[in-house]
Amino acid sequence: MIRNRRPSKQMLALLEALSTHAPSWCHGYDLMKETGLLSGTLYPLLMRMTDQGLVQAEWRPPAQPGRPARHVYRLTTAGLALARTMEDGRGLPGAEPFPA
Amino acid sequence: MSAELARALMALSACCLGDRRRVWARAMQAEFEIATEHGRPLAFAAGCLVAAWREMPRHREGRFVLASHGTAIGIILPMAALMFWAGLRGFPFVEFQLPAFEPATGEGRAILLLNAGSVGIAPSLTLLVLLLAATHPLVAWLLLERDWSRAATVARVGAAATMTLLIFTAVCGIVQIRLLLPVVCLTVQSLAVLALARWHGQLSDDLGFEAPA
Repeated sequence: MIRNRRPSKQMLALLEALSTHAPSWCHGYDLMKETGLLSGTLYPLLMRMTDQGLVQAEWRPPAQPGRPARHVYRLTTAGLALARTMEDGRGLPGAEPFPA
Repeated sequence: MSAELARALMALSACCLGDRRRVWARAMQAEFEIATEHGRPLAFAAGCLVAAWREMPRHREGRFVLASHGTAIGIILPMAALMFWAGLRGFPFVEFQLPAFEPATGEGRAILLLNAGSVGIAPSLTLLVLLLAATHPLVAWLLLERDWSRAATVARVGAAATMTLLIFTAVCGIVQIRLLLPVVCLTVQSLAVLALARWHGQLSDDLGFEAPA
């Protein structure tokens, strides 16, 4: 369920980063670097947004043998719709149109 | 050193996230390897721990863990400290009068409540009070370990020590109202352990994880 409360500044930054890359998948550490969010802020946001059906997460096999599989994230249709709504309302810089 | 500390923080984060967020703990662990390569393991791990703590009140298992630690650290351990302090000061056979009652000297006064015939029992009473005090940290530890059967066994030892204390003090003619302290401590501890054990039982049923025997 999508919450009706206005998203926080941090959530907007994450929405913006994810929507910029949509429909591609992003790694958590790359999102940290891109948004400037610390892991203590990013992960609770990702968990919440995944619970709310805004973000989709899946495992990707490791790029090199012996490394752990990594979690990747992207916006769902609902997440993209919210990102577009926010973009319309606020004008998220750098957000380009993408297929849902 | 900081790498070990960071790994310890990551392990703690995984514990705090619990079964419900196990996938997220694995996801953080995988990114931790990347953060380590970029030379920022400690900052990343500290952030993950903050994230785990922020998540704890949001799910039932986390609330249970918080309640367990709150009970152990906030209730049972202070009771143990109080009992140790009282035992070392001669509770229940020494009565202390506060300095306010001795305005002439400004010092407190200790009154021995045992007579010449019963004073020999004083070391045994102190030993009992200290034994009773020692059961509290043990119960706190077992409570955090969710080892309810052992916690109940230790609580029974505490109850036996309290009963023995009651009988001994009654024989010595010490006013029984003084024994309210260990009785209240034992009751509060037993009720807390009972409530947490029931809560854990419900959690185990609902979440499907196995409760320790």
